[in-house]
Amino acid sequence: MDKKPLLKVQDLKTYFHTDDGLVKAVDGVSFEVYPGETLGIVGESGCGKSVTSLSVMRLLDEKGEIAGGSITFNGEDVLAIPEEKMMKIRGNDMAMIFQEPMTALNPVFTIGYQIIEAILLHQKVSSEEARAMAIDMLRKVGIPEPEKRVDEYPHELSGGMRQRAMIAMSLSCNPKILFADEPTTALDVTIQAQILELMLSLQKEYGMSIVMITHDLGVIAELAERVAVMYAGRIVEYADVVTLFKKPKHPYTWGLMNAIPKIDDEKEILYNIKGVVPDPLSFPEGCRFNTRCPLAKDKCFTDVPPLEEFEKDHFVACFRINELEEMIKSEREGELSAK
Amino acid sequence: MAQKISDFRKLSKKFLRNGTAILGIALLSFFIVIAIFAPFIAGENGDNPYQIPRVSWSSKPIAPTAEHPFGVIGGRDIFYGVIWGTRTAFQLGLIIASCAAVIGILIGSVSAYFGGWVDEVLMRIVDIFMSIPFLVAAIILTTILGKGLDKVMMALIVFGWMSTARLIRGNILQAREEQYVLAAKALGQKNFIIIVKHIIPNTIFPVVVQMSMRIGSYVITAAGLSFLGIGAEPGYADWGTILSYSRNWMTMLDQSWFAIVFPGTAMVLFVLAWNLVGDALRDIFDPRLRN
Amino acid sequence: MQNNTLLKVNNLVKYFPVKAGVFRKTIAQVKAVDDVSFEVKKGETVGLVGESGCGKTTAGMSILRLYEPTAGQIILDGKDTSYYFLSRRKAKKFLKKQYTEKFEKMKQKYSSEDQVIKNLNDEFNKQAAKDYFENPHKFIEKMMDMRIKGRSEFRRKAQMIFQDPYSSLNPRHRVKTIVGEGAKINELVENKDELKAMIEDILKKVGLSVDHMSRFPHEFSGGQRQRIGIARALILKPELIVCDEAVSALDVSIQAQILNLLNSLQKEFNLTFLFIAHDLAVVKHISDRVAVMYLGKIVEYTTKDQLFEKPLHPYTVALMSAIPNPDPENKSHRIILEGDVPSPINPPSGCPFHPRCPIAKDVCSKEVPQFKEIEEGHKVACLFPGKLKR
Ligand SMILES: Nc1ncnc2c1ncn2[C@@H]1O[C@H](COP(=O)(O)OP(=O)(O)OP(=O)(O)O)[C@@H](O)[C@H]1O
Ligand SMILES: Nc1ncnc2c1ncn2[C@@H]1O[C@H](COP(=O)(O)OP(=O)(O)OP(=O)(O)O)[C@@H](O)[C@H]1O
Ligand code: SF4
Ligand SMILES: [Mg+2]
Ligand SMILES: [Mg+2]
Repeated sequence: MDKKPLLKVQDLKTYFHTDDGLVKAVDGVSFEVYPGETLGIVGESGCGKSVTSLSVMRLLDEKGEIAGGSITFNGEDVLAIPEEKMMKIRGNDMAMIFQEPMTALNPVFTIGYQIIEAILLHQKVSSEEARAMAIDMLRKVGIPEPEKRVDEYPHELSGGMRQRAMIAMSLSCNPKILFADEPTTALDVTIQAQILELMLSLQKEYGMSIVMITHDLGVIAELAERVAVMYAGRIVEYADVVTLFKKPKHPYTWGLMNAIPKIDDEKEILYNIKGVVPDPLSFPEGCRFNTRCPLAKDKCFTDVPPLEEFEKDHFVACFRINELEEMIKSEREGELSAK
Repeated sequence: MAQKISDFRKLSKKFLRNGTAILGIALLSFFIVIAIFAPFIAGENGDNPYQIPRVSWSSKPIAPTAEHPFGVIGGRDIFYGVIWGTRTAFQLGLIIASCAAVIGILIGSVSAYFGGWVDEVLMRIVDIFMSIPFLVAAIILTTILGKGLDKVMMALIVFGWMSTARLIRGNILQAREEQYVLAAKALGQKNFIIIVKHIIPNTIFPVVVQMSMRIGSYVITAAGLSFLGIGAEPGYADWGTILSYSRNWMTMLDQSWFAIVFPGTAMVLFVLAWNLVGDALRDIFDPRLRN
Repeated sequence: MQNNTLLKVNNLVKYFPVKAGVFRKTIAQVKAVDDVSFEVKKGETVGLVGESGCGKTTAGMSILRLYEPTAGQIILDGKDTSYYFLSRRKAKKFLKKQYTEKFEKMKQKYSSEDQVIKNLNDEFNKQAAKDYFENPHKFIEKMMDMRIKGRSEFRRKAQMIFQDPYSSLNPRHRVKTIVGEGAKINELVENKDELKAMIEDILKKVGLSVDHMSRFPHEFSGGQRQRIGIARALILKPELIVCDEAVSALDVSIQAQILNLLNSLQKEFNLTFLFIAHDLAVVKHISDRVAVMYLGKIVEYTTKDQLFEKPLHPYTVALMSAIPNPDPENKSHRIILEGDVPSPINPPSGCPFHPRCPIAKDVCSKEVPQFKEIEEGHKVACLFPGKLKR
């Protein structure tokens, strides 16, 4: 890719100083987001997806600290921007939508009021104009009768409608990048389909970049152009979506792909990634996947595998990429014999 | 059995590692010792030990001396009052807190268990009681009932049970929705046993914690009433009563400071002790916090 | 009665009253489950899918009598269990209405007892009518005698695995107390040693170790907690297990572990699952037959293969198209349904799906479609089945 990235995150390290000890929630994460594209970040609960996006938006709470790395957005060093200017950037150039829109919307104000306030904060328009813009935005996200709905409170809307309102609010200032943190996880599939469709069409219209955070590989496959797979605070694989799904090279990615039941692929036994995600207070030495990895050997327990370019634009952090074929083969045989 | 012992050890270890818990326990033990040994520390007033002996017929405060280490006010020995007042404080706090808790638990659980209009009516009553400012209500009731510590206690119990009732009701309603209650039902457990084994343990401990936290505040309120002259009888061994003697000397603190400082300190430490103990109890009762 | 049917649900109804005011007057009903009928064969897994609030949990809980159903018959292992958990008076009333009145009325209509039996549509009720006409009084007496004994038998035979691995375990109890509770209640063991051996055995079966016995639930991960919940149900050696979103709260890799575990346990113990979930891919993976629910009603019920190859109800078609396919080269062509799921307090007239249905015609808002067999073993409730194409 020769285009200049809109967002470049390099070796980001975000640590939390908790009562129980230091949590290295994000530990050396690098990725870029290009204008107009959708980057998917996928991984299991607690792997650091949300913390990554909160770090980029500089929204960490007081326990969290960016302990290293750099974030460049639109050619500017995000970590050096004074807080006041950052507030301007947030909402204006960077926006975010959350999993549970109820917690992100203020229950004591009407949704219209909240959208209008966001518009007035960032744009020089009169309040009548802002109201008209808000209604327009609500219509765009597919809320029926926006003139009426604009004066309703968040609790008067259904989950899907709230998520639409949230999207309307975050898009009202035409951001360059939108972080969507599990925007559809709390919703039903038919409503999820509505929201995903909406995000795609809005992206086409406004040309913004989207960072799509989810644990749902299906959503990633539908929406993302490139994907980063996270495990225990690190990116283990990073590639375009087709390569990642068709030729995963990290044992974790491969395991994840084979652990999910698929509609059009009958399997009696799902692949079993044994064990559980390690405790964030005591991640293992070396590769963090080594407690669960069937390939783990020698170096895996002592050295951290770097995220290296395996093929063009396909990055993998594993010492034993070459052994993966073997593992898949024996896995398939095991499956056959199980039948 | 072995399990229980090792559990107890783990708990006590954790408890001892927690500095504030130790402080709370130490303070509380200190007060308990004083209450028990009051006759040996401050002597005993023959006719009625809860009556502070008169040592002077002048109402002028007398600064601390070797004989009266905390000084004298209104003719009463402050040292005697503070020491024996500890007993009064325990009586006040424990009786009020436990009576209020019992009433609260009763009403709260009846409300939660029966639901429907019973719940509605009881909770409206709670609302009405709560809408009357606590101190005002207590003042009015003691004025009607007349002087005396028992009257104070009664007033505070009558207006002190509502938050427990709310707490226990909320807890029961919440615990009832927990899936482990359903699971027990699905296993065929009897309703009564479900309440005893699953619901009560998950609802009662917060009440115990709340109770211990409030013991201190009841003592303060009772003292407040005594200070206003509608609490204990004059001369009763009670921290509030001593404070009330200093009312007339408020403008001359240089001459009467000891009548405020000594009972005041006792009160503050007493409240602190119960609060710290309450905090520690909270940790103990929750297995999630035992590690 | 076909003896390979384990569970038969006839016309199950569960309404929740909506109350308001000081005197808690009922002002409306949430029609959470509204006339649901289906059957589950021994050893099979029936998936129950549908969107949030469509009544899946309510159906499962009503079957297990964790909620007392408003109406309907629940037949487990050839026995009508519907009145087991009612009070004596209500049970009598139920039996009178369900059997005495019904049969007598039919007798008047068809004029002969044999005709009544012939006109009843399911095996269980045919047999019941036969027994009833032989000696009506004895029939009811016998049923009443079954009531109390039936309860513990029912609890032993039908168990549940819950969705939330956090709230489904009492935080104050140790694993052995949680897992052993069922065995103690139902007196499956005689002494402590037997109980301990039993708990150890079951913990191993679900992939936990014996060291875990004395720990508290909070010391476990979500997947392990779910295993504890499975062990708690399994210790009773049940026949039917209702799994309510048993894997929905788990991470992908843990979800696979639990699904595999359920699969192998099913084989080992010949378990029958009613598997409630909203994830169609998971349901497809584990089920033999699938029931699709919408707004308190089952709209389609058939074998898994039929359902996924040839869905007939437009809602099923849309639901399937809405699932994001984890294959970037083969993106699903989504049928986007307009609007939200309507409220079960005020379900739409006619077909409950008509306000969102892409092929709805005028009749759909007037006529309630019957839930009937359209092809062999394929039941649908739609006036235009198979008309919406993917
Ligand atoms: N405010 C915080 N204080 C302490 N630790 C935190 C905080 N926020 C996150 N963490 C820790 O950081 C790690 C990563 O959390 P994060 O929320 O990014 O996970 P996630 O990938 O978004 O997971 P999920 O899918 O559950 O949302 C976790 O181990 C979490 O415990
Ligand atoms: N105890 C209750 N009292 C009143 N209404 C209830 C109760 N339980 C469920 N409902 C209502 O009944 C309807 C069906 O709920 P149910 O929990 O069965 O849905 P579900 O299909 O399990 O949904 P989900 O996928 O969200 O678990 C909902 O509208 C719900 O609000
Ligand atoms: S580096 Fe080693 S432990 Fe890590 S994923 Fe690769 S093989 Fe497994
Ligand atoms: Mg998150
Ligand atoms: Mg449910």
